[in-house]
Amino acid sequence: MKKKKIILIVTAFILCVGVMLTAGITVASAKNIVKGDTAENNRIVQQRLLDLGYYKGKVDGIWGPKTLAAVKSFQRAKGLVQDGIVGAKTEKALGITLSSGGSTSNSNSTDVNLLAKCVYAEARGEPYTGQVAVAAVVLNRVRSPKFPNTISGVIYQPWAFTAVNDGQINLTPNDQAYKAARDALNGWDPTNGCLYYYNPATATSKWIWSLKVELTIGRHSFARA
Amino acid sequence: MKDTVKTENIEEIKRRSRRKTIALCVIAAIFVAALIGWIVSLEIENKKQRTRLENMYERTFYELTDATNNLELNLSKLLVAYSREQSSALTLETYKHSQAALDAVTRLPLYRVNSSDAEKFFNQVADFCLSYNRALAYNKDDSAYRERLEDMYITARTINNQVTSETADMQNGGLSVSDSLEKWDKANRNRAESGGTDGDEKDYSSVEYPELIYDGPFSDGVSNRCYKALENLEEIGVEQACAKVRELPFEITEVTKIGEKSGEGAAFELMATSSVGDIYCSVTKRGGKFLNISLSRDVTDVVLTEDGAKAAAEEFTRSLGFDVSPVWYNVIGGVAVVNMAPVKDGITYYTDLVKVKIALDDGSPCGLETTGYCMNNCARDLKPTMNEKAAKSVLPDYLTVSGVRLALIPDGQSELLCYELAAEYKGLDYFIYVDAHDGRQINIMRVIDEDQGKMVI
Repeated sequence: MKKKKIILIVTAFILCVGVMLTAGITVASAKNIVKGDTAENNRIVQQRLLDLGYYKGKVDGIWGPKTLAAVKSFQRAKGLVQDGIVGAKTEKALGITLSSGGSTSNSNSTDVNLLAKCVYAEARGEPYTGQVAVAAVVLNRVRSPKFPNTISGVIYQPWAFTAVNDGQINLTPNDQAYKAARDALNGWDPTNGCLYYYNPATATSKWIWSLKVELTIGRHSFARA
Repeated sequence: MKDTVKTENIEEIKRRSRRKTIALCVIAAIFVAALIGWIVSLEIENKKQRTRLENMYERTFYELTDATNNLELNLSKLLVAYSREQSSALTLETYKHSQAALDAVTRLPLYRVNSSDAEKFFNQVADFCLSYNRALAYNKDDSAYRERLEDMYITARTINNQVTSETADMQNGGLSVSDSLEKWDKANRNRAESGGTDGDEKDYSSVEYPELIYDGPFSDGVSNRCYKALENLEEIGVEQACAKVRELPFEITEVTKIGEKSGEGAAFELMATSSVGDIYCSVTKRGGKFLNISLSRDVTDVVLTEDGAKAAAEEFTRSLGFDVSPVWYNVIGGVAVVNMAPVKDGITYYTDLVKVKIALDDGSPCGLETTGYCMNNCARDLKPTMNEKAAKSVLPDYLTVSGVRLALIPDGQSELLCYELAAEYKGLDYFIYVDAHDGRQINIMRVIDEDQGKMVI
């Protein structure tokens, strides 16, 4: 009786491990790359495979074993390499267009948002070029060895921007601030490399006044160093 | 009887009045107690936040201490590393600690005058190490790098001593990081702002920093770069610059000077008043080239196609004397951003980029940026050693190549002739750059779809 129990427990254990390993393999093999690797692309692939009758699951944007099996089954039917990867050939055969964006694309839009917030907080009401210039100063700092190497590092550096200190950075930017941020990210720099700007009507620091002003746009004077 | 009733009424009124007074006192007491409770809770919350912030600063300060310590240690090891393998490993270690020191120093609430030189040093050491590592990987002569190491080590040691002494002062004096930094910062700030120069040994700005010139973007030599396209061109006056602005395809009523840039790319900063709003222009003193044109207007009806926008961009740039062709296209809010570069003998000169913005309603220009062109454009004699087929064969089989072209790309402070191969790997799109002479892989760029078009990073 005792022996039977032990055999049963061992068998159950082996079965469990087997099931876990199989599941593991299935999950691991399901981690393939669909073009762009985004939930939206996964959704487009799932919807198309559902329409064509290869996929029976939910169109949820989650790349699981069912989606993988459907892709492989589609590839088999079309005489393509059955690797489960939705690359250019499978994309074409499916008759869909996928974006090649990904997490990097999202992080880029995060930078645009943050830069636009800084522009709006620091320079709303200024002429458009003045707003591009403020965004350009942030980017010039990112490129300068004297400052942090990221947009967030520059903007949130202690005491760097008044609008960060007083919380105005959290205001919602308007379209013009976004346009100015994008222009600066696309390479427009009206300041030609300036690293500082200040409002002569409000600036009290003697140090900032000692900098040579290269140009003035609206209420801001821009200086190189 | 009447008197008794009157007395009872008075007593009743008195009782009511007493009750009212008691009730008012109770309400006032509750209000005061609530107010005290609220103030106490605010103070507790405030203290929590202060402690949280203080802990963050403390952590950052100790990270800075570790990083400067490790930086000094690794640079000292690098001084005596004679094998390429050991030097390579140490450059990566030094890079890591320099980045960590930079990250920490920029998160501390320090006044810029005190910390900007230290930030520059950490940035440059990290950048220098990457450049050194690349030279080692490509088997280049590293003697120029080795010559700089000693100066860098001495500076790193001085900074490390200061940070260590600051830590000891803080620990012995029982000061918090923010109190200690505030005290130190205030003293230096007052001195810097009043123009004083008496040396405080805790001031990072009093450290002697070496000039670091190497092949990297943060090298000290980069800021002195010349504008090749402007060499030997005649200098113009502000009146001529204004006249050039008036020739732009807008109804311009007035042009005023708003500034002047000095140095190699000396330029007049001009603001034009026009029917489409204010137009900002930067015109170089040498040769009167437009460095920058910027204006903003709303575009509602998009009618122009990609080809139409590219043709308009080409026409506009040619009218300003830039011989460039479209190489990249993007759309942002009804405005096309067309990247243009000279294309000669099958070579695309990415180094000489001109960026143009075209409004997609009427094809009029609304932006121009030519810094890359003005800095780099010059006569070149470039010929690849490898042909296209050989360049393609360098790539591994797992990459699917869909296009090849010759391109001149920036490489540190110089430029390099490469083959640009458009390739795909498991659905991810890339541009891969290989040296057109020896087939070495030089750079990898990802092509990413954004809301407004494709982006290369």
